[in-house]
Amino acid sequence: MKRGLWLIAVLCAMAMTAAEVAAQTGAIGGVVTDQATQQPLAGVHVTVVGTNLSQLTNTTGQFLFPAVPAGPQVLRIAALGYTADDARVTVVSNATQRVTFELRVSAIVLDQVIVSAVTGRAERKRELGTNSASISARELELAPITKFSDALVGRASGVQMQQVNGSIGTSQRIRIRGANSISLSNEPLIFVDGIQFSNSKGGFGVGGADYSRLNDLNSEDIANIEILKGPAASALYGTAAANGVILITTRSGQAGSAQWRAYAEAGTSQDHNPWPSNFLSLETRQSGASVFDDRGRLNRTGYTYCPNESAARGVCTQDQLVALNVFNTPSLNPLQDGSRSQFGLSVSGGTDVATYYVSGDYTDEVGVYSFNTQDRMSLRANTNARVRDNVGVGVNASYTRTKLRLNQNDNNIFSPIINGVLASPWVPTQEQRDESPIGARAGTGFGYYLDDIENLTPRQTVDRFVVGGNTSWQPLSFLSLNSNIGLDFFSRDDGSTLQPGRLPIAATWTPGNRSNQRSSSYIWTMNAAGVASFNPTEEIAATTTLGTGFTREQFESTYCSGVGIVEGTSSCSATSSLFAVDEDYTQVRTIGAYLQQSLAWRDRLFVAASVRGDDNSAFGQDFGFIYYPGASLSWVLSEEPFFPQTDLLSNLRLRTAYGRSGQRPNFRDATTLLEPVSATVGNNEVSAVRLNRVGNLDLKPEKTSEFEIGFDAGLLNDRVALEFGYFQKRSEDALVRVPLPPSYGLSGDAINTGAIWNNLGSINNWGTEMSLSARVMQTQNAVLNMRLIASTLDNKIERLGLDAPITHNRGSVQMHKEGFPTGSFHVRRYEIREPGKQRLLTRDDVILVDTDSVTFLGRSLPTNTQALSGDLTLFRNLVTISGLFERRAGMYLLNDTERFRCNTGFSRGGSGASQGMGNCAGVADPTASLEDQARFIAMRIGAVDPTSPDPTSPQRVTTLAGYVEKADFIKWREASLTLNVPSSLSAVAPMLQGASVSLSGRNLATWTDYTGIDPELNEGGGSSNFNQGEFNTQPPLRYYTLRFNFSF
Amino acid sequence: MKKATSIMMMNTRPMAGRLSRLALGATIALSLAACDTGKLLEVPEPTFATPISLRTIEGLPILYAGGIGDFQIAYSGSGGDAFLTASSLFSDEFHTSDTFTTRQATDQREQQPTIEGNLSDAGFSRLQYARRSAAEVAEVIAEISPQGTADTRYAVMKSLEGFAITALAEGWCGAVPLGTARGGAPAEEGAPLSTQQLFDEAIKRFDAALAGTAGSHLAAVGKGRALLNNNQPAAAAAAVANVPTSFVYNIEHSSNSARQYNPIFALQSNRRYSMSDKEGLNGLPYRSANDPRLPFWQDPANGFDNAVPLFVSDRYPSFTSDVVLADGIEARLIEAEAALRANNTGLWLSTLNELRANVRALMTARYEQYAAKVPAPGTLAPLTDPGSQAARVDLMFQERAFWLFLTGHRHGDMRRLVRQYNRSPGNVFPTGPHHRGGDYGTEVVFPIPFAEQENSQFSHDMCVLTQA
Repeated sequence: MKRGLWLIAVLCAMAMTAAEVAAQTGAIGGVVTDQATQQPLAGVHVTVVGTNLSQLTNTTGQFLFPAVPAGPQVLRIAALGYTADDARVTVVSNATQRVTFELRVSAIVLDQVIVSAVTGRAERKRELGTNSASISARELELAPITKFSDALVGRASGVQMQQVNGSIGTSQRIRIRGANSISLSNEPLIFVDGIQFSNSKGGFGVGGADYSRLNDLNSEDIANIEILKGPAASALYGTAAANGVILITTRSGQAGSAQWRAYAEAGTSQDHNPWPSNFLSLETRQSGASVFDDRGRLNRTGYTYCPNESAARGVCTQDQLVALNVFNTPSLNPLQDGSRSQFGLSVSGGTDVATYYVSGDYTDEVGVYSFNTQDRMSLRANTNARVRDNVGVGVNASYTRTKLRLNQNDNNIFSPIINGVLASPWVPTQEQRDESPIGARAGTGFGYYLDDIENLTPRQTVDRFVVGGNTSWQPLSFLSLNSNIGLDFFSRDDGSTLQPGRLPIAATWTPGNRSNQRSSSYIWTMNAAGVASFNPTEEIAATTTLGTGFTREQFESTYCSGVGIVEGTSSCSATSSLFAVDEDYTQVRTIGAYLQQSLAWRDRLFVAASVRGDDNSAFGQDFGFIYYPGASLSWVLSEEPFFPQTDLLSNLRLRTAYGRSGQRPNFRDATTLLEPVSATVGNNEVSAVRLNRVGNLDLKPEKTSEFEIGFDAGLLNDRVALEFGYFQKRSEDALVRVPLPPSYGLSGDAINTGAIWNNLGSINNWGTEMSLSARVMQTQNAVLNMRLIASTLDNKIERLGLDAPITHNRGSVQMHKEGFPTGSFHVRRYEIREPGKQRLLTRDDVILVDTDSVTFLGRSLPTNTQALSGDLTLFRNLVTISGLFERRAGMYLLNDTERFRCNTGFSRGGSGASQGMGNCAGVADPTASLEDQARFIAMRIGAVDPTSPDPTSPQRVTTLAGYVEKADFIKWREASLTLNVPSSLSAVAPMLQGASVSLSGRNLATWTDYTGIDPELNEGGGSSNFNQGEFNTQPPLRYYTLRFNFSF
Repeated sequence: MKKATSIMMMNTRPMAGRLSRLALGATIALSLAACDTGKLLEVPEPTFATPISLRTIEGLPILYAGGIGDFQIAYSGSGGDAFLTASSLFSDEFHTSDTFTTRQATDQREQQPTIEGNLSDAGFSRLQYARRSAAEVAEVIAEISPQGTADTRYAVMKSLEGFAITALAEGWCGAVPLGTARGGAPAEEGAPLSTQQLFDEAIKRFDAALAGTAGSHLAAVGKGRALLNNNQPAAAAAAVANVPTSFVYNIEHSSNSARQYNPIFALQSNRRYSMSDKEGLNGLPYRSANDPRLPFWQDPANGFDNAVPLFVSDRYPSFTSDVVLADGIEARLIEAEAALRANNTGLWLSTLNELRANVRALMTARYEQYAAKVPAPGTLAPLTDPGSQAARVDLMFQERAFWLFLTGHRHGDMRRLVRQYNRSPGNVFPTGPHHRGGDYGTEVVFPIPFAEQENSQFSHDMCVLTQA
């Protein structure tokens, strides 16, 4: 096959021919200042219009273009938070023209610059028909960021960062404009300084939570985060960008003297969550008898277990209630206060020729379990140089080393939570604790104390290098050749060692064991593009972009495990039996080429069209190239002469865009393969094979097309910025893992059997997004900025391609069903006979409503979200107070913690259990609400089917409906108070340019009607695609942090 | 502040006179375009083989071992649940001691709606998988092996195919489809077959095995088992007549890899199942009988749920313990039952007593560490005629249950008691209060997994869970 490399050839040809073209040139220099304060503005984007010449101002607000074609030119200024400005300059050969810009503060950001990670081209927001979201370093500086993912919480409309787990080192879940794919990931693509960045979540399982690679990023290094929310904006990113793209730019140096920045922070993390009490309701047989023996076993001679439902039927009489909240009992509470400290130092600076940014950071954190710890060291060096007047190069390099110990949690008998929420309501003495055996520890849910659990803590060490280089060559003033190449590499060492005798509970545990996995992940990114700008007429500026890209994603791992380890060692080689080894390898390659044509009319009407073609090694061998078109229209209406110039509506831009992106199949999904295994034949271990997966040679990528339309408005003389948009996104050829009837004999024990990938489905996502930013107040001593972002989302599977829905979560609580939202909750509802009167319910008081089939209950994704943030600066920047609140609504969550508590607690009571007899309120608290009682009865005993043929012996249907709850919430995410040291103190310490101290808090409060632990939790961790359920999951922690910042 | 009022035309220079550069650029372009860029998308595959690559005489042993391994995973299990544990739990051999709702539903004979999944689903899928795998390997052997169908490996594969179908018939409702696949891809959907039709299908496989290797004891015992299930005891006895009592075919387990672990040991070690005793009123006294065929011990810790007392069977004391699929004991038990059905009480008793007289030797030959686990002499007294036909049947089935404990026979036998001996399910299967609260249900067979509904010839309505 001869594919897209012809584009590279064309680019080379363009370069060769252009190199010889020279021009007479002069220089343009100048300074940019704040109109109100007259302070120089650093980092302002300065462009020579109609060329590819652009740069940032240095720390003194200066800029200099040494070689600009002689003749009339237009210089354009764009700075976040300020109005844009243009200046007409006539460049004289071999002379320097100087220009001064004084910029006015503005809430509207039409001229913010976005640099494409694919083309390397810088475009102003006004040129784009889409509404991308921006998060600046300044926003993050004010916020209590404990990990990089915090930066994405509540700061961009349509972007949901779900805090699914609170353990240190765990990953979170990102969704942008809903979910496009039923069976593939719905996580966005991430680029850091133009290099594709892995957000894989692998590591040894701990029961539910998974690991975060996104948080390898040091948030202190971030200059800007740009979020392309969907294919309308990310069409040029091709096969992988259907879920949106997050472009992260790290800090760079600016010409000027060395700027040092140092910080130190210390804080504490605490658990302030509403843990439930454990109940035991009893009927007394022997008055005065103690309820428990010295092992915490119920005294069954003195008492009879009497749950609510039994009491309601008169089977027993509740005359004693024992209740205990483990998490409020100091001697039993497994949770401690955690700690966090962070230190960092950076220096940046340079000359007009070369700039640098170098930083180092160390973070040390201990969670609310003493064995959930993480320390991370980050180093970064970014350099940029103008090696010739028309050649710029940049190299960004970072190294991160993360060492993590992660606690067992979620669906795991070694979870401290599960041992607490199912514990007996009894407080053992220390002697009683010591005497109870491991696996049957007194008073615990599953027989384990924290000291036992600590023996089983997976450790993960990650060394990560991200290195990228970019070049920009302007052989002609109208032509720029951009390229970038880079590698995101990490080496991951996962280990788990159980020393002998620590958990003598099973054959593979008693003698101790060891597991270890060494993994390497590589993502190579290569892009090259030619950007030609020219003006076909005086009023039209045209830009043609032609480029190509290549990515290679490779993952390798080796695994070993063994049983029977020598005390004190932690190596597979130190084990004596039950050895296992494994080796894994995956590789996916993508090659693409694209062409984009942009036209600008009078710098206020912008039209662009593009097409990208991709081929990918994961496509079926019978499928070739796929094409992703895109188109964009942006019109700055308020700059038209006919537009009335008023302070009320000071700026107005209309925009619309269309684009298509894709998502590739997984490695090997297209191929039928046999997996080598071992088998025992005649007492000999021999090589064997088993069917590993059923392939599909026609497999192609999912295609997601998106249309969006909206406007950006500046109100009240640009003090208020309003952005509003509507989007509609449709996935076609959605990859669905189609279950095969097992009777074909293709559904074995290998996880990939039993189904075949096929391009079947169609999914629709649509919604609105709004952003309102305002400078609410501005006086000499007080400035108040407020920001409200909001979004709505709806989602529907238009076509599934299957006769039956695809079910998941506790069997079938959630499903992908044609005509309904993806992963929506469908249950059989029930009702309470004679509600309203508080009493104990019998099994006959709960009546089935949906007698035939399940009914749609609700969605798994929020349908509307709002975030309100603000910062108040007082006394001429002496004090800054900021805060962030977020509301999400419209989604449901399975409260599986409570379901399990009720079900297991009830079973234990009925089985005469001696241990762990703690129970939920619905089962054993006589004051429990009717709803609490009814949902347990419906789940465990079954709701009465009123259509039963024999009413005296009715059929019962069990349903989890009562445990699927609305998960709406409002959270107070962030608050901070910053005191800036007055500049007058610089006289005391002349080197000190600035200093501040901040006191901040994170996860400060939650308001919700959800009855579980936290409405954001997810048992499946960040990689959970649609499952929405908490199951003994560690909720987010509250942080208090004190931080000192110095610049000198 | 300066404000631009118009956009100025760029002063670009013409590109004339650069023809040489253009020519060079064009040359490079053409050179690159001539490259086979498809090579950029070629990725190595170091881990897996393709179905076609092993269809050779050299690949045959690997395919054959794959067929053996697939059957082990399906019938016995890979350190986890499969047909064997589901059958044991559903019958009166095991009860659940963990917290999983699927295990409780199976134990309680009140299984979950198919859409929510059941413990038996894995067994169904893997038995179908093993059936397909064995059939494909047998086909390759017949095609490639110089001996053709006379290759003894052919008989083993056809027998395992037959045993897989037999297990499907013994465990699941009377609506089991047998579809086909070719080269790892779906071929033809199967129409649901009744329990009797399934046993007939199994017998065809055993006959095919015997046609290739007439002396295959494995096929003979399999055929006898299927015929007995089809209420043809005399024919079953004839089928196994030449099988010596010493014959044993084991499903081999190993500690070599986790998928080869003995599942009963692994799951009991993880405290998931407890050995039953008179489970649900009708259950047999597996523990209280103190029978040397049923060694067990009580773990001082409780089950996985930290609540249910844990009784551990010692029949499989390690990960490497093999599971008997077919042996001479079963052959004699088939003969004994045939004698009982023929009212030859003397032959019936003598056949059973002959086995009992050799219990230690027979068990030692079959079960790992048996002699160490069961103190000598460990003998069994001869049985006497209990006097009535009903009592004889009870005794016959108890003998089968004790000899064939945890080998995947008990559930099928309970169904036979209902089908062939007119017993009420309520008098055969565990009933009354369940140890986890609530009562036992009325189901006597496993449901077909939900995914089977993608088979256009199948409907879940066809599967009646209360019909033995």
